[in-house]
Amino acid sequence: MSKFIRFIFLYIFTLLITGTFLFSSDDELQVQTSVVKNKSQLYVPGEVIVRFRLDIQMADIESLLSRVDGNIKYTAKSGDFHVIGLSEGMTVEEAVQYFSAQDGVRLAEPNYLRYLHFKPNDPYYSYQWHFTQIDMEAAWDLSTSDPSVVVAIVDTGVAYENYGSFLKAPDLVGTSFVPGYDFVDNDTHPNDEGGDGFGHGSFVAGVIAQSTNNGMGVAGMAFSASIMPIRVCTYQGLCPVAYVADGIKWAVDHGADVINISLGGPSGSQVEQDAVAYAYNNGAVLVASSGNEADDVDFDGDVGYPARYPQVLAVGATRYDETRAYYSSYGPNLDVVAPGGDVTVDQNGDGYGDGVLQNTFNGDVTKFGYWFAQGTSFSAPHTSALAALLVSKGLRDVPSVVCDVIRFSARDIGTVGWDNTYGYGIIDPVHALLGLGLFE
Amino acid sequence: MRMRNKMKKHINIRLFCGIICMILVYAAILSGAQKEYSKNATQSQSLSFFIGGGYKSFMLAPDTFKTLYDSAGTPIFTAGMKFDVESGFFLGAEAGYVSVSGERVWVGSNGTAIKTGIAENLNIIPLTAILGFYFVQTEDVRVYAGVGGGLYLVKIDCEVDDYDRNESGFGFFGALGADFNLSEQIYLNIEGRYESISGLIGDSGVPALFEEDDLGGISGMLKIGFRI
Repeated sequence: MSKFIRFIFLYIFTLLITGTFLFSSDDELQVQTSVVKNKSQLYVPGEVIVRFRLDIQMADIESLLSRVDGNIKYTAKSGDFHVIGLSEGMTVEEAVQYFSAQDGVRLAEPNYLRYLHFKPNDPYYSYQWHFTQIDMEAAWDLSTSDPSVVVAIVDTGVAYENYGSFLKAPDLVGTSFVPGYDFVDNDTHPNDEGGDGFGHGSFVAGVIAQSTNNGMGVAGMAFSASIMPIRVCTYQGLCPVAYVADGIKWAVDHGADVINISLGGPSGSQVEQDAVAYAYNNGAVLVASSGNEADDVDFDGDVGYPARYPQVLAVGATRYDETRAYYSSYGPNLDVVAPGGDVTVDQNGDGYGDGVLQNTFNGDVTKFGYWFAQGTSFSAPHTSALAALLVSKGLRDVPSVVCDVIRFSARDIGTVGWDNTYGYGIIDPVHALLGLGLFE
Repeated sequence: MRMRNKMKKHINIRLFCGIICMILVYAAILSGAQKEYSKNATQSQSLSFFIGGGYKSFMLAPDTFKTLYDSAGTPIFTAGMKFDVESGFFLGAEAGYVSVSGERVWVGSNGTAIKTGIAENLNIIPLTAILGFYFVQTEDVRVYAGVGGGLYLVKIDCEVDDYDRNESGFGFFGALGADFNLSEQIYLNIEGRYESISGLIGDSGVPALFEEDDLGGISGMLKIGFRI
């Protein structure tokens, strides 16, 4: 009898331990149906981005602003552009028209909003089908990247430190970080405040460099690389292009080798495009999510921005069966696809929707769990991590070669050759890391 | 661009083989006239064995070889036998060996190539036969032209075992050469070949990027032969 009671207690204890280890609370098992895509708001109201001529005097700028009762709300860290606050009676369109017509102005455009590309769902390595699918175990024999390789995550921030009310994500405890910047709060603590409650940037960081082989949680793809958190999105998940552009430039100026941008929108921005070109010309590999708007007419049947810029690797999402995820934006500017998941199906039969599994929070920035989530937001960091593996093997400061290697080593799926649904195919880390020989 | 390169290459091969064939036909016509002299100048029938070496260029896939192996050419070693028949024709068979060391590379679409540090060595064993005709024969020297072909065994030894490869394919060549008699039994041979080995490479890897699909090129060899 006593043996039976001990067995029952041991059984209950084991269940408790296992459950706690996998999913730290019931809350973390909640399904978050989908991210709100507030695309009706294309840009920040009451603001425009203005790039003045280099020879213009401050007095002239003030004169221009006083005529429309405007004020400088934000100046890019590089000094390259300003965000001008507008008076109540002036629309963004009128302001763009007004500033564009001035002699001292080189560029005026709306402060476009970028939106996070994710559709989180709910909650270990055996569940990370998205790594086994691209043969990461063989790739890790070739490289796990290197702490000298810096991957900037331009996102909602990362749960990377215990600071104030913020906590470091438990499964980022062994991950290497370099200083980043918070462009939303204008400080040096880019902790993840979430995007619509979900720790988006922390999840992205997990895909790239979750602490691995540490006896807990899940793995990251380039787990020896260093993460540079760059916060450009508000807690509502809104990412003004002024912050995005500034974040990209700041990242490359502070040593980023790879810049992951898991966000986007339907309109191009000159300021953002200039930042992308600057980063690329200064040796950074830029990777962006193609978008979760496959059926959205606003995207002209193509990937969003910044993924659409030629210097950026545009990454779409596949699901467990290696078909395009229903949400994944595609089109003429798609480069490659990578696992992004589809939580609406359980094709691998593990009892959970087939999302990408990483460690983050959902709702409370101090409560972490393991979450299955889907979106091109999470296919992009798979590709950024591959770039980090390649940079660690010697492809530093040659973004064009890294991008070409990722494109041309991709495993062709769909129509033979490049196609606008899968680009060059699904990323193939082993093939990319091994380079090319006489036959393959 | 690829079509133009291919056409140019095939025109080169055809031109070279055409010249060799014309020489053979012309030589055959003249053979009657030379026969009397030949009989006096050389042995009419003989079997000889030879061994030698030289240099083989991969001029039909230069970018591939420069990128992977830092050179578009490599030493070649060869050994074989030759049977001279009375009419001025001869038949030969030989086996060669080519080995070149390199590294796998990452290549950008602008042609930038960066080495991966992963060694990949290429070994080729050509097993070839030649039909030739001596169109000039004196007591000291015999000049010949010939055509031939054979089986080319290609082996890739890669540091990563999964990428080891064994392939084989057929190729053909035209040859011009001369035997210099050092004594009644020993001769020195100089031979140049233009060979084409298409279809073995080009579908993938570095050759696909550079749109090169022929392992052939020009080779020059110096051999020493022994008549028995």
